[in-house]
Amino acid sequence: MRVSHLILAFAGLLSCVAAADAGTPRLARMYPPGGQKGTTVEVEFTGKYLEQPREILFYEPGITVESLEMIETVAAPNGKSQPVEAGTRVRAKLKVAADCPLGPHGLRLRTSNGLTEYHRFFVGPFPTVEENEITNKARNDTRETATAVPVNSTVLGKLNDATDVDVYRVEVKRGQRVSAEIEAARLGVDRGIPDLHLTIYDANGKKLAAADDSALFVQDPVLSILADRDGAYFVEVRHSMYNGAGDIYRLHVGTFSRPTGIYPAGGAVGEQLKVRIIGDPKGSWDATVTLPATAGDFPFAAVTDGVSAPSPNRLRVSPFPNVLEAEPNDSPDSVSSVVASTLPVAFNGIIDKPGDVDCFRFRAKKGEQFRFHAMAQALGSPVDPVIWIKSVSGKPNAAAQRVSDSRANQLGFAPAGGLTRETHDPVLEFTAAADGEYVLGIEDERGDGGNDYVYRIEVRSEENAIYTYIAPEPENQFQPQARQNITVPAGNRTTFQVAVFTTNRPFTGELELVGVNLPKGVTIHAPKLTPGLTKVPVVVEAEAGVAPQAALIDLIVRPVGGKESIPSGYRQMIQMNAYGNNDYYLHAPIDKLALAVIEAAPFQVQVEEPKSALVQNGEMALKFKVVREKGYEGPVTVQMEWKPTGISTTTPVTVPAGETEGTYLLGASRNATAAIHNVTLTASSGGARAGYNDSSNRTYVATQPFKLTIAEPHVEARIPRTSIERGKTTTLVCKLNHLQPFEGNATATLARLPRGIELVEATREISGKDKEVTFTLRATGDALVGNYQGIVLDLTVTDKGQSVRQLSGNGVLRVDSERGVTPKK
Amino acid sequence: MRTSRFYLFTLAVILISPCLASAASTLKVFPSSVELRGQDAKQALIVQEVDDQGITRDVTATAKLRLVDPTLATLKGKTVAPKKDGSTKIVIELGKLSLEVPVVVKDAAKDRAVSFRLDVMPVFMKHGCNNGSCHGAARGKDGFMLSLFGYDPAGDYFRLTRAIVGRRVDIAAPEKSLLLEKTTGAVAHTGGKLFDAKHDDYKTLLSWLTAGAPDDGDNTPEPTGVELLPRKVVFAGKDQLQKTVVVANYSDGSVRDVTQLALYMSNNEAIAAINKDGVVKAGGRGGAFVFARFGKYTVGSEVIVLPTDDKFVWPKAPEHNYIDGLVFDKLKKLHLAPSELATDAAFLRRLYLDLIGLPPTREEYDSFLADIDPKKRAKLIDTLIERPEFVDMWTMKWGELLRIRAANNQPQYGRDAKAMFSYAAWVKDQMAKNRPLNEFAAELLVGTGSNFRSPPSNLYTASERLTPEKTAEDIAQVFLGTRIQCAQCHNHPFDRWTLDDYYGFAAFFAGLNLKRGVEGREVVVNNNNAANTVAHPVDGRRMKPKFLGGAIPEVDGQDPRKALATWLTSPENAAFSQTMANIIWSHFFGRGIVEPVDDVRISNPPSNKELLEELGKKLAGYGFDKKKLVRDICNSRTYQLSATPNATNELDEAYFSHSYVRRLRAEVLLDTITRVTGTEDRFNLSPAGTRAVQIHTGEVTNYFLTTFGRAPRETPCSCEVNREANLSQALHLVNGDTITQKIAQSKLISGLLADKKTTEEVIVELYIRTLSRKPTADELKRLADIVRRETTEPQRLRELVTILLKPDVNYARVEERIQTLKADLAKLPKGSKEAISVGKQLETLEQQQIAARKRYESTAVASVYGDILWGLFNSTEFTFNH
Repeated sequence: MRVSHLILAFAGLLSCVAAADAGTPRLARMYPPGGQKGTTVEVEFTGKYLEQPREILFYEPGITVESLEMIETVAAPNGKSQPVEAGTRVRAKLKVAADCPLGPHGLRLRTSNGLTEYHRFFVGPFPTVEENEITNKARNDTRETATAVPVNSTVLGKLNDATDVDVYRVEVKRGQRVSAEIEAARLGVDRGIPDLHLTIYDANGKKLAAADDSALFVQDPVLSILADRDGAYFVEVRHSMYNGAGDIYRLHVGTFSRPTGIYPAGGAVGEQLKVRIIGDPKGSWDATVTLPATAGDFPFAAVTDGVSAPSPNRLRVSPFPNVLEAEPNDSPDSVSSVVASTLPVAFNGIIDKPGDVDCFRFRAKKGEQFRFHAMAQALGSPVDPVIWIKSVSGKPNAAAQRVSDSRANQLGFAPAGGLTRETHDPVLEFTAAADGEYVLGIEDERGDGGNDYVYRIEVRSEENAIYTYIAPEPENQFQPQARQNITVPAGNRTTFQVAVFTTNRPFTGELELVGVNLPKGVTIHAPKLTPGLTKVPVVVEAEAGVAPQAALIDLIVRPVGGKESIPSGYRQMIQMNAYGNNDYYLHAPIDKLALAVIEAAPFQVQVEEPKSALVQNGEMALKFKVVREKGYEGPVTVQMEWKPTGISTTTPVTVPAGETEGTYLLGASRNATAAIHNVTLTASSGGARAGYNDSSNRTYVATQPFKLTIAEPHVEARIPRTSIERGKTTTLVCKLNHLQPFEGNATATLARLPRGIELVEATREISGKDKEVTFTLRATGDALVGNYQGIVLDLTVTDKGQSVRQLSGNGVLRVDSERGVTPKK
Repeated sequence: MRTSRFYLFTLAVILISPCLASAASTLKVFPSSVELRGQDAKQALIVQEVDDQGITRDVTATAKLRLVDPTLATLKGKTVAPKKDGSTKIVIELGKLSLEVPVVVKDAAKDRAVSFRLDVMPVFMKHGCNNGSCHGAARGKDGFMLSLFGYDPAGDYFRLTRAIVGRRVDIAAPEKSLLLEKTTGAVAHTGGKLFDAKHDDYKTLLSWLTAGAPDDGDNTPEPTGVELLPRKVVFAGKDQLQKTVVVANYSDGSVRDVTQLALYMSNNEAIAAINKDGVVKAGGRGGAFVFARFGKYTVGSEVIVLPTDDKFVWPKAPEHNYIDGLVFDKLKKLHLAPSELATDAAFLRRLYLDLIGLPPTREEYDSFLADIDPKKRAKLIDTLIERPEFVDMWTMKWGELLRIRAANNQPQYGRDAKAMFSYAAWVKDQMAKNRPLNEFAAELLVGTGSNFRSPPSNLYTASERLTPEKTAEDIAQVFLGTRIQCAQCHNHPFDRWTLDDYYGFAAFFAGLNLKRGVEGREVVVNNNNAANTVAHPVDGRRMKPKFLGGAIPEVDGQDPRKALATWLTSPENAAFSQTMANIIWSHFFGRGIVEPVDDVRISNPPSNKELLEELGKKLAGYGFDKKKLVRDICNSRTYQLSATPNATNELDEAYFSHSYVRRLRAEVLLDTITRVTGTEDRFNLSPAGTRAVQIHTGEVTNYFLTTFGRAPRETPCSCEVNREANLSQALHLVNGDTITQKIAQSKLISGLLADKKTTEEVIVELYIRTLSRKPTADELKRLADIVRRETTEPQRLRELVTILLKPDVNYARVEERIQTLKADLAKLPKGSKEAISVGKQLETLEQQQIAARKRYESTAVASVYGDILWGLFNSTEFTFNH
């Protein structure tokens, strides 16, 4: 007992030390995870290293912060206040505007030390009520003990244990809807899926409807039924498999209309779009939506009888007009050519019964290229679409171009672990083989169908977009969001790896990387992207004196010197709900990179730019210096995170506490391309990482970018096969082929000699004119008889005042036993 | 009383039913007609005498055989050989009995060239050269690579003649061929000497070698069927012999005596042994099968051995329905008398445990025993079949067969807990609706779509990886009761399945593929209708879907599983209906008519073929309504027989002459203990109040269930449910915490004591609740005596209380305090203020201690009854159904 207390005390001490070492704030959760628009919500942020909260950075408009403070003490059950662990809790008052869009609002908390992970706050239309379940005392597990909630409210609830069941009672009138929607899996957790199940019972306990999942929100179910009499109805929430514990949910319950589909699922920019709202138990109803003037996604929350749906459906806004399906269109022949469309357009329809096939005709000219993107899963529709295109005038049996899925990059999604449902929506890249009419067909891959099986096929000319994202580091395996924002101390630098992906074909020309919306005093240095190079180190520098602040910036690429611009931007996939082995079940794409300038870091690292080149098959030692602020004595670990192809490095080098200098060894392989690279070293506070799962907290800075030249070796050596007898000497003559001149004399020796073989003269001097160099070898009694390979010439030349080491040649040495001696058995 | 009167009645029936003897013996000859084709043809004849009791005798040696026209053929011993083309007869005489066999001779002048497939390959089989322990394997073994049981004759020919030229086969000096020198032991051979140079098989090999070891032409006939004769042998007494003859039919219409080339086996050597030459020898009493294997065919004959001086009298048990008729027919043949009818109490317990997996409650027990309706058993069966627990039992059975078990570590195979949840719920729904089994199976077989939204698709995600072969094996095993696994690499050694059958069946599932759904746990099963073939491993032929033992359907460009589902579940498919019937039957008897239920094969024949066929027909006739067949079975006298055997049937383990004592399966045992003690179990992934039978998935279990052999559902094998009794089970019952904790948590005994029940009443109550019977007078007296001794003798009770008190820290502390206070009091002046205060304290504490002792006394009394309950749980009678 006593011992473990002691250990705990020590552990506490250690974590205190780590916290004092500054570092990145970590946000584990927010509670409550959402609130009503037009109200002020008090939200508690829980995490680590949250000392000195400074601001909340929102990705969408509509929420402002009224107050932000550390929580120092909380009320204990006995009423007294007790202190909380430092840096673990922050309280914020969020003012949600009356016109705030419904749905998720991405945010990060900024503290004096940087930015937290991305989390989402859910804005709904209804007032929040608490579940009010007290374990062992007031449980709402049965109809008899159900919590009564007013209609059109949002219950903030929690499933206490694996088998907890929460039951709510609502009173409605005959003919009203009883609708319910769960927000749980969507809220996003680090690990696991809060996968809940929803059931509606009548007053007698008869099950009226149940749902485990929904096409709209995957694991989050929705239900809507019509009340057939006045009185109480019961909504039950439980885990779908009686597993998990402590899962938080928001249950929207009331008489609202919960659309499961909207047809058509989009329109042209600025259009007054007439839509049919599908999925209401009272029957479909019509509405007119004013679409915004910018293309893209438009969250639309349907309102009927003055009550809004709890969360929006996703509509698409396109720069081209709609074409609606006209049944019969089940086969190419049934679609008359009169309705043939000229691209680009968006085709819209519904796979209204199992096995339904919808066809559209369109005209295209030879060589025209179009991209057909069938959207259904992405819009929350149950259709798993397959699309195909056939030429009308072509041979009747000619194979159709048929696609059932898409790749993440085609959708502009950065590579990420796990699966997104959007990739079930196919993208067909089409080039017209001849002038004429074509038929586009769409069907459900599983042969299903129904009245809310809405789809929208957006067709536009082919374009190749290039997007940027922060490439994953090894530590992202366990912390998917680690280092996916930029924190730069004022008067210092930081580096991060930016990768690019294209939506269609690889890029050809030279590209440069540009930061957009950078705060004043912040600059970006990045090497140019050349074909084949998809990842570069980018250095962000903040001038001294830049005030701490945060910004959402963009990172775009554009052709070097060219006038043409290409569609570009930053695209990152936030991963949540980890499940199984490195798989994520919730993906939130974001298109802005969060950047924070923080107070000056306690150290800087400067590297001495190498004057000479690193030669192929050679080595080079980089010297660097840690400049410590007064009072900072901790260790600093340095490594090169981005390396040119063919360059190898040592493991991260740690400069121990109190010391200021270190060397970092670089090696170039034989096939490293001769070129000049702009590189940096990254330094972090603290010692070497214990492993990928090391959650140690660090401050990252970078050295200035410096030039690293990789060149051909100076000399190429040819080492002949030689033999030596034990106890004797022999000479070995290396032939030299000079590739690059060097100044003065170079020192040569033989390396990788076997045991017992010595050089009579340890080194030899050669000049730039020598065609060969001779070594005398001696074999002692220790030498073991046999063949030894891999003997190399180790040459150190002086180049521009720096010594450059290179290895060359590949010799074989045979060691023989003494003549006349019979080998021992 | 009522029961014993019934016994007397039965006894009277037995006494007045004499066994009537019928007329004379008959003579049989095998084969019943002879066709000799070719110069070297010959045919041995077997003569059998069948007496009025059906007992057979091999009279081949004593019978006289005579050729009507000796110019056409010769008769050497009992073997006939050709001379000249034509037809004649052989007359067989034994005493007064006589019989004729027609003989046809064809191509008597033609000399058939020695053939590799027809002559040499059977020698390899006969002498075990190509079996698994010698040179046979899927790829051959031990240097000389032969295909296992000769499934690949072309390959064998190649390896024999081409692999090591001039060694195995030496055309120049045939006698020096390694093939002969090894078999005769002339050179070292791990397999030893198989035969010498005088053996017929030596001559066969030599003549083939002398002929230049030729390969067969394209039109070499293939065997199309084999017969082992006689089909039935009934021995009276031990050590009697019966010769057999094996006749093979060939694709060219010829018939050949292959008795000397066939390989013989028995499924029960102790009852019927068979030697290398096909001579059957009677062993102990009972029934068995002997088999002959030739080519890819295995055929069997039934052998019954009866005692020598059997004074068997059939007791004439009244038949309740067709089941009894068929079971009793078999018992009569085997001279086994069925046991008595089980008592009402025994029947009640058996039926409850079998149908709903729970014991009857006290009220159910009372009302059944008090019922005087003669149809009360049938009524009870009807009631229990409609109980929801009946649905749970069959949901569990199908959960095992369909392997409902999550494997969350690899969601890409579609076996996530969530999918299994919806699968189990679907199966339960089907059972609750009493969905006809053929429709149930058919819907599973065509399972397509999301493993979440379309539960039948989970049939195809049940194995770790979806391969057509594995799927085919599982489906054959579950729905056809057939294990075709062997035929993946070679023709099945003990059954009729060939590689062609196997890969033809696997081709039904070749087009299946799995695609991930909208979230990582979801997997979508769909069929690529253009990819319905698999490659034959021997020659790479593209195998088209072929029903197992059936036709090749026209399924090009379609999902072939639809045709499969129609064929497999049609009422005409006896394999399906009989397998389903057998699974149901085995639930009520602890063994199938074919046992194990998923290992139907020629060499594992049903113990009562007629019964199995009839049950299959009935089930199909009922439109695969499981409940109707269950009702028939439970209403049969066979099911209601007592577990107490009689002198004739005590060794019977296969013919259902009495009720077999079966250990309760793990789930039922735990549920029964839980029900009796009125406690509750909690299982993972299950809501509160879930019984063990209702656990929906294989990976959720607990120590008790695992110890008692709950199926982990990792394979579709019926063997997963372990019903053996072993030491760890006994130890867990005796020492483990399950029973002890449940008794401790139970309010049963305290409730009975609170109701002021007498000792006897409590004991009777415990007996009825656990064993569904009242204690015998002796049991009651002895137990009541123990209870009285323990609870009324103050000394014993004190000891018990002391034991119970020991762990009570508070009691000890108070006791200590009392002693201190007493010591303090002694020091204080009497009557002083302090003394009075201490005195008051002492009084309160002492009263507290008295109350505590009282509490412990009643606990002690309850614990004595708890021990009785513990004893009952530990009794064999409780853990077994009988």
